[in-house]
Amino acid sequence: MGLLAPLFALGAVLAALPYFLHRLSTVTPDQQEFASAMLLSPTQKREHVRKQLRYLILMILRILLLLAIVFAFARPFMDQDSISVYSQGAVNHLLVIDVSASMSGADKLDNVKQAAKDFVRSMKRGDQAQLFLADNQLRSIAGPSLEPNTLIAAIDDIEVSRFKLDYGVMMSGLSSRFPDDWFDHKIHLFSDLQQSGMPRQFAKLIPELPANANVELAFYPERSENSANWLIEFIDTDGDQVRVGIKGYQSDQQSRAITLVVNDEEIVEQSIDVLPSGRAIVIFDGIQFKPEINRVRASLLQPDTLEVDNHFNYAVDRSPPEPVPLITVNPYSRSVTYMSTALRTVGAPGNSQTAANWTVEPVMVDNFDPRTLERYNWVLIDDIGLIPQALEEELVRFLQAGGAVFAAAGERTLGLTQVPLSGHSVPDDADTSLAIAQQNFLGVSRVESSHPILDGLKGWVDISISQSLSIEANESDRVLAWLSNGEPLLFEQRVGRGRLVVLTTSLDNEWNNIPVKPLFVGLIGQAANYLSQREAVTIQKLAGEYLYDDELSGVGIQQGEQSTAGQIINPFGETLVELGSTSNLSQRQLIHTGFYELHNASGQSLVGVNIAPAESDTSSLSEEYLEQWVAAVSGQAETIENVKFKESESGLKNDSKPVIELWRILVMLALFLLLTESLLSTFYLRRAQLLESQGTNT
Amino acid sequence: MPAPKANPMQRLLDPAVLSSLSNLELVARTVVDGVMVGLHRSPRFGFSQEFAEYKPYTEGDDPRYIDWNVYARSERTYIKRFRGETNSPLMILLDSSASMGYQSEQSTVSKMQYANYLAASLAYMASKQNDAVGLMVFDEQVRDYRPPSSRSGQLQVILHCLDKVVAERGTVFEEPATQIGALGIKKGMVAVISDFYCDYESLLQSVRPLAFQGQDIMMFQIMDPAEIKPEIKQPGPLKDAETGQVVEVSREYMQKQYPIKMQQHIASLENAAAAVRADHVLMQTTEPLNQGLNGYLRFRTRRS
Repeated sequence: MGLLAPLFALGAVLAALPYFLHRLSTVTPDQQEFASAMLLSPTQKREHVRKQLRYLILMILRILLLLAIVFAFARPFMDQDSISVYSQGAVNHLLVIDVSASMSGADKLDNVKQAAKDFVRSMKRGDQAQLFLADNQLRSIAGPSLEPNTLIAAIDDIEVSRFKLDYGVMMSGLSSRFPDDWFDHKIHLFSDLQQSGMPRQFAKLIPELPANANVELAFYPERSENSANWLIEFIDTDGDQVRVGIKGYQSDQQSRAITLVVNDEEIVEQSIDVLPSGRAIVIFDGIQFKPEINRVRASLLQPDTLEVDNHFNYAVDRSPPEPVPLITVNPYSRSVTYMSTALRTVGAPGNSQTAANWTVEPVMVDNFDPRTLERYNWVLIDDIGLIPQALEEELVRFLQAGGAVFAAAGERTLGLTQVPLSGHSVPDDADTSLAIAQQNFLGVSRVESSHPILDGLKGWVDISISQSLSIEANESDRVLAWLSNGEPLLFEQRVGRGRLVVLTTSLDNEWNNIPVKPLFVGLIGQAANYLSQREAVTIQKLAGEYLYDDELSGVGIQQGEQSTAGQIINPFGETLVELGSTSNLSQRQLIHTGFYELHNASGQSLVGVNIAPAESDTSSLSEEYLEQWVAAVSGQAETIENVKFKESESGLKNDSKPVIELWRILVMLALFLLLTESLLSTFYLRRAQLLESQGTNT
Repeated sequence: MPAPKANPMQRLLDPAVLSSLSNLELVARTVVDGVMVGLHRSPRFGFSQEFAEYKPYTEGDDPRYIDWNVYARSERTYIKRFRGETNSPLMILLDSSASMGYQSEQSTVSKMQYANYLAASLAYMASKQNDAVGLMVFDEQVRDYRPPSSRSGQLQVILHCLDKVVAERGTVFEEPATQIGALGIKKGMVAVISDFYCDYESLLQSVRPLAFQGQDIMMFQIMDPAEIKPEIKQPGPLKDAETGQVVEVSREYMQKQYPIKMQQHIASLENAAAAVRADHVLMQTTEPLNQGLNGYLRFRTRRS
């Protein structure tokens, strides 16, 4: 029974009763008016003050008496543990439990949870503890608390994640977790101590410590005797062939059986010998993919130390080729041939899973119906000078609505005073309108390699340009590549919501040698992905990574649709983000392994999510490394042996502390107060009567 | 020796009776008539307009007072005699400080009321004697001033002033004394009505110039019986009516030491009055007013 019971709360209110009664009965001595105080001399004994004091003492005694009775009936008790909240030598414990993906194997998590609970139970009186979970981030789940039961309940609720462990993130996260009013801190790391979780810099393992703090680091390693582990490292496809890579850690040579599931249908099972801690590739031929995004899942059939990395999820995009019009004056020109070939190559399966197939549709400029622009994401023009004014207006509307145009210069451009679509001025004189190399060919002096179109392209030194359109870039243009004469070779211009990319030389090999160089395919392919915005979708991710707005908006984008409204469905079929509410999408973490579906109004995509390969590496940190870590944190070496000794020493000490019953003390106090009040009130009463009789007599 | 039989009219001089009369003039008349009934005519004759008797002329009498009309009718020389009359203006200084508002349970009137009755009675009596009478009401300053006059409406003016008096603020005697000196009032009588809670030295310094001017000073000290012999049933702090000072006094002090101090105070005041040849009259608010009026008459007699 406690004071929270309503009856006793009411009893506590009754303690105010004596106060009100005294207020009512206490007669404040009135000041009597007197003609003059000239002949008066103040008395040494301030009688009325004494009287007030007597009233006050009696009132306090009566209130205390009532309170003591009420509290005594509440039967309060005091746990000896709570007598001293912070005593000398008390320690602030920071319990960090590793919940990364590697902890899912072989009861590792259960063991560290048990070790953590044992430690909590053995905490000294006055110590407090905070509980953290560590994977690729540090999360606080309980504390600071002096109460072991709270911490143990929190430990019981811990579940393993699919994320990678990062000790650097963990220790930097602890930096702000040291309370200033505590002197002794101790970090307890319950982990399998994976070597792969180490940051590149040792300095990141040392948290920022408060001034004058004493910090220690202790390890509670969880290591299984059999640490052999195999994982599926990758899946690759080429046509109807699927290649699956297998890797072993701490493993002997063994045969591993693999099964391949495509679109939830088990296709085939194979076995292969894997060398000790080595790699092997299993090839599956004749796999029939659907003309869409396919789910490919490979699994190792034999169990090992870590089960979660025995599966690999892979999305294969075999969507039908997307048409792109190539507006030209001659459908049989070399520029058309080069572009068609390059775009077919870019979209070839097995080359890049992030790109789509492209089918070039050459069309004579006079035959091109502008109404068909609605069907395309982007448009190719082999000579920008051939665009008549009517078509230019339609293309501008197409651009402003969010479409894209890739255009090159050509013979038709030379006779114009202004470049269609881009609006650049062209000199009237044919001699000056062309930048013609007189002796040596022009080269490429500089490229903006950070741009998605030029990202990773090499071989610019082999490019030779004999002729190019001589124009000056506007301030609004983003020049991506410069000629050696300082004029732009490739520039991007924003028109409304759309993008216009102009190559100031031709797409055939008459003015340059670009189409016959290896970088041409990459250039055209990346331009295609960039202009169609298909490059935004990365269909392979690691658990713990995020899906960003641009990745969802890149799903099946069509002309004029820039909305990020969409839907994300996790591997369990649960909808994470509803249509129209994707403004909260910026930090959507992929917390499960499997396939995440991304939908929006114009299409869908699939993201295969797997755990980080580093989690499969079961090799642990060496003792020397741990000693260095401990020494760096606390300034004194502490070995695992010492830790183990402390573990055994702590043990389970679930002492039942005696409870102090306070109600007996309160009853005694009530009796004492009652006696005192009786004696005092009798004494005061007699004194008052005596004074009154004296006054009457005189 | 048997006690003199009390005159029935003097019953009306009791303040308890007077307090039931709302009209101050009526109070004054009642008091004065009550006093006058018990007095004998002065055997001394003077030069007032009130005819007294004829006396045969004898050697040594002033021949200017021979009534020649009687001589013409009877051929005997008679001297015409009038009731004695002195031209003695009366100036009443009335203390209206806050201490004058004190009234204990033993008294039916406050000191201020009692002082008003006394002042009104003095004014009435003086007016009846055709003496000029004036009034000055003061506390820390002079609050009201009516110069002495023997005009017929003067009594009403003074009674009206007395009606308005309110007891408040402190007491400073220098102010009225200085003003009377400065106004150059004709020699006469000055009646100071106060409780005289003041320093004797300062009182002497204030009054002494008036005495040097030839004024006959009467100091009517009005006290409540509870001031002379206090009865405190319940000990507690006492608050000075003028200064607001709160003093906690023991019952023992009020019963034993305070009366002694009060007697010493009165005695000191009497000595101070004697030092300037003033007359000191202690009047308690429960006593009849005739004592005060007798003092006035005594002075008037002394001056005639």
